Amino acid sequence: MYYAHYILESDKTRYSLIEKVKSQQDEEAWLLFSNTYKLYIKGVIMKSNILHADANDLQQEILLKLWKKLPSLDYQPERGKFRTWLYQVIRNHVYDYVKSKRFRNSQKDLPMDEQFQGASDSQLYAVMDEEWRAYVTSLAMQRIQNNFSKQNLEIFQALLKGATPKDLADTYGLKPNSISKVKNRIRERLIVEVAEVRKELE
Amino acid sequence: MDISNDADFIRHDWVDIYDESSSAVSLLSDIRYSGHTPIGEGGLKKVYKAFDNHCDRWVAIARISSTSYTMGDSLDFIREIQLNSTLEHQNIIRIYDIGIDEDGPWFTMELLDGDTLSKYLTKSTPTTNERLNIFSKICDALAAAHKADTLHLDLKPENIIIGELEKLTVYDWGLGEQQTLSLENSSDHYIKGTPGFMAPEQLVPGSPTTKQTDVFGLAALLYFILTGKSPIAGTTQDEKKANTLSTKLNSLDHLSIPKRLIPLLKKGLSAQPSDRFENAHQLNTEIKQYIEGHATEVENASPLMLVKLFIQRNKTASFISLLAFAALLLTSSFYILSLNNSQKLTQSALNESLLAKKAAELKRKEAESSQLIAEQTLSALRKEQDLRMTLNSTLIKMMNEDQKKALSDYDMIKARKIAKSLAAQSPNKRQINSQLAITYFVVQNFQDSLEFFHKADLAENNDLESIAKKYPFNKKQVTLDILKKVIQEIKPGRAQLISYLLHYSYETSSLDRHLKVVEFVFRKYNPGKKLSFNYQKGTQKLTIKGTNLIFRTKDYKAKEGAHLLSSLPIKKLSIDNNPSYKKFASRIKHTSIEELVFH
Repeated sequence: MYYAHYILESDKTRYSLIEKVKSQQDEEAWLLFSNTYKLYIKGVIMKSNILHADANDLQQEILLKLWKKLPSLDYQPERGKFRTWLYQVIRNHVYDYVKSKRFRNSQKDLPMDEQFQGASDSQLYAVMDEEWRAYVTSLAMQRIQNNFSKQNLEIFQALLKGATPKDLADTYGLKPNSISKVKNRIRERLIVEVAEVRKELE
Repeated sequence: MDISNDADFIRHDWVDIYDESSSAVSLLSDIRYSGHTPIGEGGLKKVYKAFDNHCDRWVAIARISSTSYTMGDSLDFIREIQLNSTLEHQNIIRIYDIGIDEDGPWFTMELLDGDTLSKYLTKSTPTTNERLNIFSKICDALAAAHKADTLHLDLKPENIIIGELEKLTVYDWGLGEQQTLSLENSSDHYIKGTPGFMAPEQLVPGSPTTKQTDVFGLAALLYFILTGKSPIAGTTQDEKKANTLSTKLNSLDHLSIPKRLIPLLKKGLSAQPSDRFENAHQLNTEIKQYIEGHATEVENASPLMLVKLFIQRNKTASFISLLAFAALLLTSSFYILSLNNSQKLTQSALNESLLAKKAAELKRKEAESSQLIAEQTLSALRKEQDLRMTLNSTLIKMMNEDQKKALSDYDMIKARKIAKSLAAQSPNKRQINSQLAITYFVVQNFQDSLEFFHKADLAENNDLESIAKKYPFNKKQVTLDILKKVIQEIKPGRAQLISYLLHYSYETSSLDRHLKVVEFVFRKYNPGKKLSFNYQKGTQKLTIKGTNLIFRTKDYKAKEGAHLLSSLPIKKLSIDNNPSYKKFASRIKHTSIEELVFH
């Protein structure tokens, strides 16, 4: 898969994906860009309680808008300005959409309690931020998968879900101390990877 | 997790990690030290065992113990850390990190795993030499500190930890100070130290503490290491304090204290700091010299002691020839052994020479089995090629004893061999050359003896040297005439030497000739006295007529005198029925004499 391929190979290209896409407006760059951000955009749309039927259209529209505006972006990687700009573009597009005839027409057919109740800026930003954090960490998690054994990843997941080291020690026949060590190792690696992903995508 | 699956890709399980990636420290672990198990408390601080999550190791973390500590307390606490952290030595506890948080200042250090000195000594009961090695390590640590002008000031068994592989660590530098600071700050007068190990000046407000204060502590530790007790008498703290002030020490003449260390302890435990060793290094040098077998500066070694020490030193060198001689010497003839042992016995039991013989026989058997052990050890050692590490100390002791025995028991040929190998090892030692010259003299190799008298260049040998000069040749045996002349010229005070000559004569010449030599010597020591000397070879009966005759003579140097007839096997010695002879019968009697009769 193209996207996954980029992600896994990303260690070789230490400079920001945004820089690459900004300077290289061709099909390859477009695929790279859309594959990287489309899942996030879709996630924001879904969480915003906007009509799900239009979600795919909205996602595509936002991606295209970003793509077009990207060359004119005054990008400063050390300030993480892309993320701020990304939020802004999404917010503006969502607002435009909510005001549009297309949106109002789709709302008419819905029962009252399912209709869009409106959203404040801060609510929308909270959604975008939370989703971004989840997206970045999920991406990082996917990238470090191959660094750990299946069992250790299972232990890590189980601990996140609230299992105690003692329970897991019994299940896996390890010392509680070792269980905690597994958790710390993966956790630390994840932190490092998150930092990497942020450097590339923000 | 498939990225193409839109619905599942974004998960919120790890979302918290996002924020942590912003901070570099959290790349390691958000909590640096986890788990605080108290392990000790003392003075100003409480010590816990904790895990260092960053360095993946257990550490000891010290925190200020009082919850209502003052700025001054904090300062003292921090001073301890700074003092200690400037010292880098394998026997000094290592400081890892320092910090301050809402609970006050803290520092982390090596987590010492082991026993305190007292516990170690009772648990593993080391030998004297091992004990001294332990002490030397403590001195090493203090020498390093003293070099940096840092004082410990609270040396005591509880502050010494011995861990795995004998790793020794001196810790708790809490009372220590930078000497340069303490001199300026003499108003600092609260009492520091632990009674029983602290120096007297530590109890006198205002007296300066110096490196010599630590020297006292070290000497006190040495006393403790050897005896298991503090050198300061007293059971209560107050008693100990009083005895410290008056330097009332427990007896230094203790069974576990090697005699040669007494002067060293005395010096170290002197009441006046200026009378002690200057610093830990000086004390350590003395101890190391003792361990290595050199005479220590303070003990003023006698020449004989020096020779003995020389032999002891070579026990650690892989000096196999000496070992071989040790084995050889154990085989020293039955004659010599029985002579030596029955001599001791007959002094108390005059007429029980049969018993003496039996005892001697027993000793001989013991000696033979020791020889077997020695030989086995030797061959094992040769195979191992690791002499330094595996030398059997009992074997060495036997070697020392037997080297001495070879001389005192008149085994001149062997004694000369030993002296020769000693001289080869240490060609510039005067005493050794002198020893060798004398052994050559005894076996009448006067030419060789001259060479070594010359090398030794000792005035005390001038008399022998001038005799040797008259007969400057090496012969297996000089003529009776020359031997008589030599004996005549030897000063009467050299009784030991005369004895050596007599025994050599017995071993190397016919009985007839030997009898003439013995009679000649006997007359030499009984000059101008009327006497007759008659020996029957078959019955081995010696009849000596005459009164007030001397049978033993004193040596000018050796403690024990020589018996003039010891080189002659006598079954019956008949002497005049004289009251003074009867009174001194035990002195006239000798191991080679089975029966003493008065005619």
